[in-house]
Amino acid sequence: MNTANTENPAFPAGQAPFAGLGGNPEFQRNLWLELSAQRLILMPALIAFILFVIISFQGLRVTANVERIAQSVAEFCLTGILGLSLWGMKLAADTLTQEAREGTWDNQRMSCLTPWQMIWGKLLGGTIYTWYGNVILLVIGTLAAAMAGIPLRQIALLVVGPVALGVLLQSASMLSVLLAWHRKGGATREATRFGFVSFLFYLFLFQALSVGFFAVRGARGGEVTLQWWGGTWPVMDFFVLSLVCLALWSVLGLWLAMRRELLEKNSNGPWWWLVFLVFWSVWGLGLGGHSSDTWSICAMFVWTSAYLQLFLAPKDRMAWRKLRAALESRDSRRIRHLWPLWTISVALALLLSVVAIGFALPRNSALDVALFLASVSCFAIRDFAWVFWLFLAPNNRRAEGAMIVSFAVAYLVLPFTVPGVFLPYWSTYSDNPVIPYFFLHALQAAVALILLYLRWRQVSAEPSSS
Amino acid sequence: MICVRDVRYDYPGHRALDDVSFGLPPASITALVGPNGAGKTTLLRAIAALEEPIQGFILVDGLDVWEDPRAAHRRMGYLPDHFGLYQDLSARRCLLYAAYAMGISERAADALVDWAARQVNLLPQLEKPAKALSRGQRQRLALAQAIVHQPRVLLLDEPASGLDPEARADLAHLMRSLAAQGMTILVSSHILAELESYCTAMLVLEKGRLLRYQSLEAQAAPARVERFLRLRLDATQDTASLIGWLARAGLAVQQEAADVLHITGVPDDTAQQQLLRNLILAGWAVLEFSAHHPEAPSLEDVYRSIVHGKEERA
Repeated sequence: MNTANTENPAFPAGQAPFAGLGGNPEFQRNLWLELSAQRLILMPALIAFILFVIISFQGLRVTANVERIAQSVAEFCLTGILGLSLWGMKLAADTLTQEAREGTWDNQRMSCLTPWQMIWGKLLGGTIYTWYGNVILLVIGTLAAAMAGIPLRQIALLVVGPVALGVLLQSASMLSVLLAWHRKGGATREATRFGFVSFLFYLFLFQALSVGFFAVRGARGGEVTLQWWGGTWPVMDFFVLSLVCLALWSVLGLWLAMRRELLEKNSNGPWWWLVFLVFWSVWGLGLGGHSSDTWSICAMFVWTSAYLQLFLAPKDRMAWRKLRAALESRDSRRIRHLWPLWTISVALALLLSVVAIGFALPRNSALDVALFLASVSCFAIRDFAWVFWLFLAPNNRRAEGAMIVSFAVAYLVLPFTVPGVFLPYWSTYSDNPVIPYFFLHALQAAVALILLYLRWRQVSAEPSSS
Repeated sequence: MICVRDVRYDYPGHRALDDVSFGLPPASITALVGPNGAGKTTLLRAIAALEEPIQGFILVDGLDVWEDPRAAHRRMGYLPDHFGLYQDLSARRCLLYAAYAMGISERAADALVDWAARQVNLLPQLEKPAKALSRGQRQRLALAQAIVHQPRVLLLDEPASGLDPEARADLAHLMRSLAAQGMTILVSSHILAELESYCTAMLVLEKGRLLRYQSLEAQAAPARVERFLRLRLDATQDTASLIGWLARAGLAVQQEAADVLHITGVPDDTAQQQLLRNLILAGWAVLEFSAHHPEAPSLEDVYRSIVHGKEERA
């Protein structure tokens, strides 16, 4: 056999056709691993056994009737779907962490699999067994809900809601692993551990969303309404639609992270992130109208996202040296690839802060508003400079812990102690507390900037790429 | 086929690759050697577009691997030091998955799986789960995964670790066979003796710097022609006449003793046979006729001479 030959049929011209079920080798591999005859029989048998127990117990009650039994079955199915989604969340994260643990991730990165193939091959393939159970429960639950007299529209929401919740949690757990790898500069064990820790966060999210889901469902959906962009929406409809949007954004985020991991071209573009911020800002604005408070909330949301991105971005010396080398060599591809996206969030957050302040102007003096804006900027400068000071240290192994502790001190301790000491002295000169607050924040920002400057000089003294 | 220019790679606290530049011709087998921490694995991973250098560029088959990593990957096979396998899949499914994932059509995949398994002598084990294979068989399965899509460039990081002597011999045979079919191979190893039997060139790395690219064919060839013949004559022979006779034949002769001559300038075995025949036909009473081949320097000798030469210069 002639190897490395362009005429070889194994190398057809252009994009090679993919083999495997659905044209997705990753999906097929997961089917090979996840589905066996025993497991395919076990799931329906287990569900049938539990249903048998439920129906038997309900049947023994004096007040039992078909509607009541059907409602119990529907509730069991809903609970079962949420439980399986929780299990699927762990399996979805495992599809990546196991690749790192088994040393197969490099092979996958070097394959021809596209990011979409990789995502749905893992997201659906890795969790196929739980979705197999979910489909059985959805069919039984839908029939039972219809027999229990639940309106069709509400049944549809009860189907869409848990499915969206499952997709959201499973894609988010995968996304957290990829973000951890990106942050740590590779699929290391340490990064995988971080992914697992963030998995615990999704457990809380799951609890919050499922509790919210049950609460909304308990409120009988259509009876409770809310206002969104002037329109009246049933709470349950709005909740489920928001859940669907969250799930779609989570999958999109996973796709973007997978593109970067699979070394796709232009995989660090800012546009999707901007659209994400605008989308959720519009979503938030719709709930509160055009008041200055709403714009402030939007600004806070974007500031929070900037902090989140800062937390998730690689910040060590190597990251900066790579960016510096790219800037020095004017390599536009590398600059695009390495440019930190939190800078975009910061720019947008500043813009939104100005808008929010503009709305607040009629109620406040121009000096107060300007000082408030300056204070917000000082806060951001202080925090970002401090974080980089920690991460640019020669030994930054404890930078994360130090960052969390210092933020806790900055936001939970300082605001309740320093002004208490400082303001009584100030009050003898003026009764406007905005000015001393601004000076306090400016002082903190200046100290953080000086520290960062000193650290940056150390980093710059190291050999550069030029 | 592989062109590396001014590649620099930093880890926190130290420079793993320091302005490394070299080029490898097609169908060559190059040994990448150096002590622990020399940067061998980093270099292989940079060529495989798995680690992005701070500066420099790498071309594989004419493609800049960081301009279009995915296109470059289709032309490459990579066997990492700590290779991974899907332990619960059979060897055949491992190979099928590797083939499908590299864009091989379903029609072609079966034939390529059989081809790859045959290359690494794994055909009888194809239906066994990967976890049931021995260490050496798993290593061979990983190697088969790396070549199943018949890449133009093959990067191997310590491929012989865990292989028994017989499997190492098979590996050497496989390397030669793949190179003969047009594959360019870059292989790193600590054990120089195992590389010696099949490598055509050597790259020596130390502390992230490339000390030398050495073609082993060029190194060995002149050594082999410098054969050295020892001739002992009957004491009654006229040695001076024989020296003149040999000189007229274009050979250099040195007299060691009254009846012993050393001859150089015999290029190969055929000329050596012809010389012996001519001596007998001419009636010279030859008592001993022995050839000494000064040993071609081993890969280890070449490596040591490069490293020591650098130290002496320093």
